[in-house]
Formats: sequence, C-alpha cells, structure tokens
Amino acid sequence: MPISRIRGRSGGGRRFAALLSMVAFVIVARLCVARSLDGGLLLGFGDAQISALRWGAVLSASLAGAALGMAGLFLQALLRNPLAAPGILGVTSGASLGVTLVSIGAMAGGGWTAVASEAGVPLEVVGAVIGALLTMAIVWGMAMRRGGIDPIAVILGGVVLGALLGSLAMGLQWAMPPHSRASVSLWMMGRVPEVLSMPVVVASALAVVTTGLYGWANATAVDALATGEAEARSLGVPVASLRRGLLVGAGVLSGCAVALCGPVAFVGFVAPHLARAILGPRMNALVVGAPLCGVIVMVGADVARVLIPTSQGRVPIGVVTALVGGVWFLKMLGRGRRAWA
Amino acid sequence: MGVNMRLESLAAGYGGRPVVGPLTIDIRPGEFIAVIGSNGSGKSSLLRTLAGVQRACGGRVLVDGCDLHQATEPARAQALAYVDQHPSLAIHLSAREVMELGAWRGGHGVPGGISRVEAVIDTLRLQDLAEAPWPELSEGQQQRVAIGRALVQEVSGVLVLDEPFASLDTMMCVVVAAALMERVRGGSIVVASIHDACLAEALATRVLRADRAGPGPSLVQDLSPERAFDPTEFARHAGVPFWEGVAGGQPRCGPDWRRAIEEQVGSLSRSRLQDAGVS
Repeated sequence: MPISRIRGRSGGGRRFAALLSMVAFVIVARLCVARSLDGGLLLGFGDAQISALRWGAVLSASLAGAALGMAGLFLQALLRNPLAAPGILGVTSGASLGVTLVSIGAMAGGGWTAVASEAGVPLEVVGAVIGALLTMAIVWGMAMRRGGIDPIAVILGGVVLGALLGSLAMGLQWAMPPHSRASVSLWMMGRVPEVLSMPVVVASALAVVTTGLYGWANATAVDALATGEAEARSLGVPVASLRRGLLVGAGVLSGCAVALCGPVAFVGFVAPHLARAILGPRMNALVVGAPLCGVIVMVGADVARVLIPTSQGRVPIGVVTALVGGVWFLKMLGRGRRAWA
Repeated sequence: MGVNMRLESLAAGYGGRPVVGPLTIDIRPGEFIAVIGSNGSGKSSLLRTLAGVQRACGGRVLVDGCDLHQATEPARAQALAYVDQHPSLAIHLSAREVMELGAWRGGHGVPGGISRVEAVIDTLRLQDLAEAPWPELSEGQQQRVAIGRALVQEVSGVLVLDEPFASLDTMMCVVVAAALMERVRGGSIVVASIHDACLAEALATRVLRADRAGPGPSLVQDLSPERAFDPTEFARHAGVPFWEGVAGGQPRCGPDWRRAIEEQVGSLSRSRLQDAGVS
C-alpha cells in the first residue's frame, strides 16, 4: 500500500510550480544575458549561431546539475548524513582522476581511443564513472568500518580522500605536455561546454532518467532507510540491495557530471537541501526536486559568472558554486549536530 | 488465536564471536518477556538477533514456524516489528509520516492502514505532535513515535523493543506500558529490554536475565517474575549489599506500577467502547 497522502505540506502543487518557474527563469536568463568583448552587459537572444551555443551551455549545465543533485540526494540517503555530497566525499575528485588517466592514455597510445570514439563510446565518461565508483567503494568501506555511526568522521575521511585523489590528478597533469596541461587544469576548475559531445550527453541523460526512476520506485523504502539499518530491515526494506542501488547510482551520476563539466563543487550538496526546503522531506518529491534544484544552481551559477565583471572573461563556474555552497555548508555545520542530523 | 515464537539455541554476537547465548525457549501468545541484565551483558545484541535484523552466531528464530533469518524482508516485517534503543538522527519526516511507514511495511500494507495510524496517535497521546518534524521532537517524543510506528506495523505478531521506556517520563511510561499490555492481551508477544526493575516487574510474564560471568558470552536465564524480582534474589544478583542488608531487598514497586498501568488499560478500553458506541 503506497502512502497516499502528504499531510501537513499543503500546496504541494504550488510549490512544485514555483520550482519549475525558477528553472525556467534561470534558463531564460542564461539565454539572454551576455557580455560583449569590451566588457559591456548585453541583453537579447542573439542570432541563431549564438543562440545555439547558449542552448548548448544550458544543456550541459542542466545535465550536470541534475546529475549532481540526484547524486547528492542518493548519497545523503545512503549515508544517512545531510552533509554528504559527491564533492565533499571526494567522489568527484576520484572521477577527475579517472578522466585524467583516460586523457593520458589517449595521448600515450592514441589507437584504441580513436576506435572507441568512432564506436561512440564516451571514454571520459567511462573513466570518470570508474573513478567515482572506486571512490564510492572506499568511502562506503570507511563508513561501515565505523559502523556508520559518526557522520563527522565519514565526512572528514571523505574530505581527506578527495584531497589525496585531487593531488594525484594534479601530479599527473603537471607531467602532461604544456598545451594539454592548460586545458585540463581549466577543466578541473569547472567548465560549461557550449559545444557538446553527443555520446556524453546521451550517457548523462540516460543516467539521470534511470536513477530517477529507480529512486521513484524505491521512494518509501528510502524514507524508511532513514530510521536506521536495524529498524529499516524490520520495516521490510531490503537494505543491502537498496544501498547497492544508491551507491552505484550516485557513482554513475557523479562520473557523468564530472565528464561533462569537471569537478564542480557543492552543487550536489546544495541541491537536495534546497529541494527539501521547497518540497518537504519525502523521497518521492525529492527525486524530482533535487535534480531540478541542481539545474537551478548550476545554470544560475553560469548566469552569475556572466554578471561578474572581470578583465579576462568569465570566472570558472566551480568558483561560483564553491563560494555559495561552501558558505551554506559551514552554516549548517555551525548550527550543530542536532539541527542538521 | 495468537502468535508463537521459538528460539532454538540462539547465540548473538558480532563477527562470529558470540556475546550472549545460546538460548532455547518457547514463547506463547500473550507473553511479555522482559530482558534484564547489567550494561554490556548483550541485551541489545540478543534483541536485534531475535528480531532477525542482526545475523545470528548460531541457532534459529521461528515465528509461527517461519525462520526469521531466512525470511524475505517483507515477510519478516509482517511477523515482527523492532524498535531500536536510540532514535535515528537522520529522519526528516513528520511524526505522522514516520508512523505511516509502519503501515507501508515493505510494500505489503497493514490491513486498516492509515486508520491504524490515527488509533495509535490517540493511544500514545501524540495528537499535538503528529505534524511536527522529527528533528524538532525531544528524544523521549521520538521514542514514543518510534514505538507508535511499531504498533502500527505489528498485527497479532511480535514486538521487539530495546529499552522502550529509557527516555520517557513517568506518565508516558504508563501510557506506553498500557498500550503494550493491551497488545499482549490480544495475543501478541512483546519482548523488551527494561532497565527499570519496577516497570519490568509490573509488565513481565517471564524474565530473561543476561549474566556476564567471566570472559565468555553472557548466559541467559529464563526466570519467572516472582523469582527474578524476589527482593533477596534481586539484591544478591544486582550485587548491591545495601538492599540486602538494610532495606531487605529492592522495594517492591512493581505492584504499584501495575495498578497504574491497569487503570490506563481500563480507560483505553472504555474510550474504545465509547468510540464504537458513537459510530
């Protein structure tokens, strides 16, 4: 029997409509706000060519934002920890190490990568997903060895793991030839590509839709998982298989997002909290709300960096999201365990 | 009518190392089993294992012939409801939504579903808290909601509760105890660890006492309440010579609690009769 009513959260439809209009607002803003070469602010949709580029940016930012939002939602449910997110636990660092290794492999022996790209296999996605999944496995192992009891210890472990993997990736990039080093380190700061590789887009879209359906189908079980391992088991939740599903889902989503836009920080942390604030705590609402909030944060950050005046183009998107999300994270941490746990 | 439970040389522990057991007992419908014992004697491990949510180190748990450790999750959820000692910190739902999870029961709903939630809210006096978000509840309130969730879930089955009275005030102890007593009289089985000797004496039809003796696993003794709470026996076992020598043993507060709880059970059934008469 599904739990049919959502009590005490009146106006569910209205809240959802508000969320959708926020999505529409940031997308329209991204499509019509730009900067001219001399630094002046331009308003207007531009010609077909410019409009196509802007739509490309909207699509890549939206896909990465949705993937990160869903990944954060899955991670917070899996670890029963509201501070969890792919960036904070080092999962995106693991994914970027995977991408770095793939691009080094491509430079060293180009033959097999050419075959793969001809077959339509997005190698950067494969590398990122493998890196993310391996990191997820390590984080999970750390959480379980501590009995999943101490949420701060898991977060701390994830942060250190992320720093470690990030340094490894940086070391590898340092050893690269200068021209590729520059492009990779720009990618590490987060980017929003305006020209998209079709296989990456298809893989990411598939990941978001599939994990969304999985979360929707298991929504009440995920709600019940929050009561704790033993109680959830006794409530009839197949805890082991549900955790496997959430873990793999979060890994694949983080990998896709990193392959698209680089390791953009804090989107996966902020999006589920924003969705919870707007739609309430039920998984069946959040599984739609968290990816939409991810779109709002990611596209919104892309708009913000157009608005920030600089002398050398737009600031990297990762800088914007880290500033907003980092402050939010510290604020939650400061409110104390009882407030956020 | 009612449920039967059997533990067959059940041993509980971690990583294959038993900390308590082995234990073999038959539990009949309508029994209230109080699990007592000093801190660290393995009460919680025993309860989690006999609830089928922690792997056993040996032995079996049968509820109406069904092996809990082999059963699928939904089948187990229908046979037995378990409440942990410490309420989870990770819940964002409201109190009512948490109790509705009991009606969900792994996707195999409870007959009567949502109307059971309303009844339990009344029984446990949660009317004013029902819409409150979980993080805003005190630990005692969370405990009451968690017990309410189990009361929604359990239909003529087994309730396993780890220290259900630990953070409740006196009044709420009586309210929760009366709700459990009512279930037991309807043929359910309750197994609960209770550190308060008075409450344990008031409620138990049988007592399992875990004794930590030496480095090995705790031994569990199956005792009658009269035996377990006999003043001299209790004082000797608790190892507090003061009670034995000066007070002649632990004061027998069980019967007083019992009267308070019976009164509450009576008022519950009166209000149910009234409701039935009205509708």
